[in-house]
Amino acid sequence: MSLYQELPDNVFITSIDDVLGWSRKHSLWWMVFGLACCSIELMHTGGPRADIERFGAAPRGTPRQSDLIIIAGTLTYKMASRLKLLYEQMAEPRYVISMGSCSNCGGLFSSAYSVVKGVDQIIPVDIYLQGCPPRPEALLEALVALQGKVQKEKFLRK
Amino acid sequence: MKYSIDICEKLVQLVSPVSAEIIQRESKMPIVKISAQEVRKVIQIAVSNPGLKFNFLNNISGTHLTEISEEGDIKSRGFALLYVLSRSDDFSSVVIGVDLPDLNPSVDSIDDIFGSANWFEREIYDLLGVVFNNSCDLRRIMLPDDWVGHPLRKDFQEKSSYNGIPTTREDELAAVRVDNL
Repeated sequence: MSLYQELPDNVFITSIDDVLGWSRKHSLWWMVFGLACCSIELMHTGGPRADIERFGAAPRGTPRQSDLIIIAGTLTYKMASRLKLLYEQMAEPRYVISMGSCSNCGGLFSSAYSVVKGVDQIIPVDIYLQGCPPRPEALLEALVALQGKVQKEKFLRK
Repeated sequence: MKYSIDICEKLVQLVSPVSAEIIQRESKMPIVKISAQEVRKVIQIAVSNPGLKFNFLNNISGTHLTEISEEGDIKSRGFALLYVLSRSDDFSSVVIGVDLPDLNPSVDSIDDIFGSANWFEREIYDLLGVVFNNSCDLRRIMLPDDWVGHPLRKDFQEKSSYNGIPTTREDELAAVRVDNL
């Protein structure tokens, strides 16, 4: 008789990495950082139809409680130093979703004098989300993609 | 807002001996053109004269005027400011226009007559570099304080970087594909 057959039904065996990844990916608290019209879609994603909180992603008002920052909108040079300061206040490991064309590469404003041509010129980006603006479903897909990345990480061996 | 040639002619008549002429007579928005030195005097009269009593400043707008030669060179022709005043009793409005020179454009501030003029003047200073003399607070309003240049001038050249951030983007997005969703 093997070990599995001897154990009662409510016991299962897994690895620490899997459990840590599973629990971490379902508690990605994200910082509200709406800069432009993408933040309207960000609000819809928090609403009852899309309901981002069913994935364990709770909105936070401060970088010190956040694991994830969703940059929703057009980043200007004046705001860039503030974004870097907020990002550096987040506890590691920290993740970044660049939401929409403007934060990906400048988008519509890619020839404007005051707009940063891509958030990745300032902070590292994990997920680039296309769209102008992306629909709430697309943001949920980006979050699920990030969850896949978090699950695969070897958290204890860093 | 109602613009009419009558109110322009009344303004021209009441500000004399200051020389003022009406341009764009046939358009929907005739402009009372005055010289840059007389701005404060004319607006003071437009506000306080009992026959005018303009009590609201709608807008101050600025433009960099240029002409393009046949060779394609951009030649500056100076700056133009438009002051739009209106009044609350019959909602009629008047537009006062000023031309400024290409080099060191400056005009007297009117923020002691209309407090709201300050933000308009700061915007024009920020984007066009027109200096408003005796302003109570002439700082940049939208761009960062350490910004060099005035971007709405037609001859503005963008720098290659700002505070270490490049102002152009050459590469494609370094997007990471997450395969096993």
